[in-house]
Amino acid sequence: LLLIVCEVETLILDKIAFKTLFDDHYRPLCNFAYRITGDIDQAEDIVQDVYVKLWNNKEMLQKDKNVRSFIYTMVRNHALEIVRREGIGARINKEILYLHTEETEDMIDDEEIEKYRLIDKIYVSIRQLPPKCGEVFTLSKVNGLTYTQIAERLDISVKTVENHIGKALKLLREMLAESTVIFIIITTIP
Amino acid sequence: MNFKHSIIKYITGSEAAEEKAALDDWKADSEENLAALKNIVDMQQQVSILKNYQEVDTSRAWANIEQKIQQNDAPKQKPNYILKIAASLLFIIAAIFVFNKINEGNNSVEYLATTNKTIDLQDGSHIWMQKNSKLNQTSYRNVSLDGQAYFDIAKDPKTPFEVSTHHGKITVLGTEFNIITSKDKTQIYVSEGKVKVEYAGKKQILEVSQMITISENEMAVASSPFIKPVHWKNKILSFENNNLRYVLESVAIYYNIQLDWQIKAKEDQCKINTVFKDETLEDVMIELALISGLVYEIKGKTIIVKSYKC
Repeated sequence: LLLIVCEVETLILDKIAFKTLFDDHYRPLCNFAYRITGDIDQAEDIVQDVYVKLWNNKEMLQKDKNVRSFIYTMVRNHALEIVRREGIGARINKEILYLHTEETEDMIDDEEIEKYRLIDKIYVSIRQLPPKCGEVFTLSKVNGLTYTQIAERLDISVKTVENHIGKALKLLREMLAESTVIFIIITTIP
Repeated sequence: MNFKHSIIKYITGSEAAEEKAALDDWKADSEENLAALKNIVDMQQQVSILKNYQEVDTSRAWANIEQKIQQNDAPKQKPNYILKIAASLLFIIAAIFVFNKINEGNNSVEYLATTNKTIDLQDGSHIWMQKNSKLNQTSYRNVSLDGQAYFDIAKDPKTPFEVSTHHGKITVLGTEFNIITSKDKTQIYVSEGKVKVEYAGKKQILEVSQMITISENEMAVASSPFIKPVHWKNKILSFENNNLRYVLESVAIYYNIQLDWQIKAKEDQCKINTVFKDETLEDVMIELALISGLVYEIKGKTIIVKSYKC
C-alpha cells in the first residue's frame, strides 16, 4: 500500500512540475510559434497540443534532462509542419527562413529560449508601467519615434517626454534587474 | 557600398541581386562579419517580436490542456488481468484516501496577493485583492480578509456570502463593496446593493455609496464625497478638473492611508485631470508630483504634503 501511495504522490508531483513548465513557458512559446505561423490562435493550438503530447509521454521525458529545449523544438517543428502543409508559406517572412530553413533536426538552444522568455518579461514589465509612462516608452523604444514626434503626437512637452522616459527606465531597471543584457539592448535602440 | 543600408535591406528582404552577392561575400569574409550580421538581425528580431507581441489567455489555455490530459489519461487504464484489476482498485482506493486526507486537513484556501490580483470563486463571485492582502476561504461562501479587497459577489438568495474582518462580520446576498481591514480599523464602502455589518452586538445596514468606519467599539456611517462607486468598481481613480486636495483625499481613501495636508494657503488652484488604473500608491504619487510639482513624503501610513507648484 505504501508503494501505491508513493505512486500517487509522484503523480501529484508530476502535475506540479508540469504546471510550472506551463506557467514558465506558455506565453513565450505562443509568441515563438506566432513568429512562424503569423496567426496567434493557431500558435496557441500548436503549443497546447505540444503540452498535451508532452504529458502523455512524460515517462520518456524523465531521461531527457533538457525539457525546455525539447518543448521549444517540438513547437517549432509542429508549427513549420502546419505552415508547410497548409501552404501559408507566403506569411513566413525572410527572417524566419533565415532562422529555420534547414535545421528542423537541430534542437533549439537555451540562448533562443531565453530570448523569448526575456521578451515576455520585458513586455509584462512595460505593461506594469503607469499608462502614460508605458505609452511614451513604447512609442520611443519600440516604435522608434523621436522625443519631438512623441511630444507632438501626445500633445505634451518634450521635457515631459524626457521625464516619462527617465521614469520608465528607472522602473524597468528595477523590474528587470537580473536581465541586464536585454536591458542594454532595449535602452540602446535608437 | 553602404553595408548598413544593405543589411537593413537583407533583413527586410528587399535587396537587389548584386547587393545580396556583395553582402554574401562580406558575410563569408570572416567569422566576425558573420557574427556582426547575426547580432544585427537578432536585435532587429527582438524589437520586432516585442512590437508584435501577442497576448494570450493562460488560464483558459491551462483549462484546455487539463481537460485534454484527463481525457487521455482515462482510457489508458485497461486492466487485462485480475491482478491488474485488483492493483488499479487498490490504486483508486489509495488515491481517494490520499485526496480525502488532503481535503480534510486543509479545507480552507488561502490567497496571498503579492501584486494586485483578481480571484474567481467557485460560486461566480470575483474578488479583486490589493497587493499584500490576505484572503482565506473557509467554506463555499465564507471568507476572511486582512488588507484591502473589492468584492463582486454573485447573487444567491439561499446562501448569504459572509466576510469576516478584524472588526465584525459582513453579510450580503449579492452586491459589490470594498473592504479595507487592519487591526486598527475597518472601512467598508458599498458600490451596489445592500450590505449588513455586525460588530460587537450592533447591526447596521449600508446602502449604495455609504461608507462605514469601525474602530475599537465605534461605528461611524458616512457618505464619502471623495470617492464614487465607479472608482471601486473599475479599479479606476479618475479626476476631471478636481482640486489637488480633493484628489489626494480620494487617493488616501483608496489606498487606505492618512493624509497630512501641511499647506497653509487657502486657495487650492491646482486642477487635476488624470486617470489611475490599478496602480500602486507610489506610482500614483510620482505621477501627481510630475503633474503638479507636489512635494510629499510617505511616512508609514501617512502621506505628508508639503507644497505644490502648478
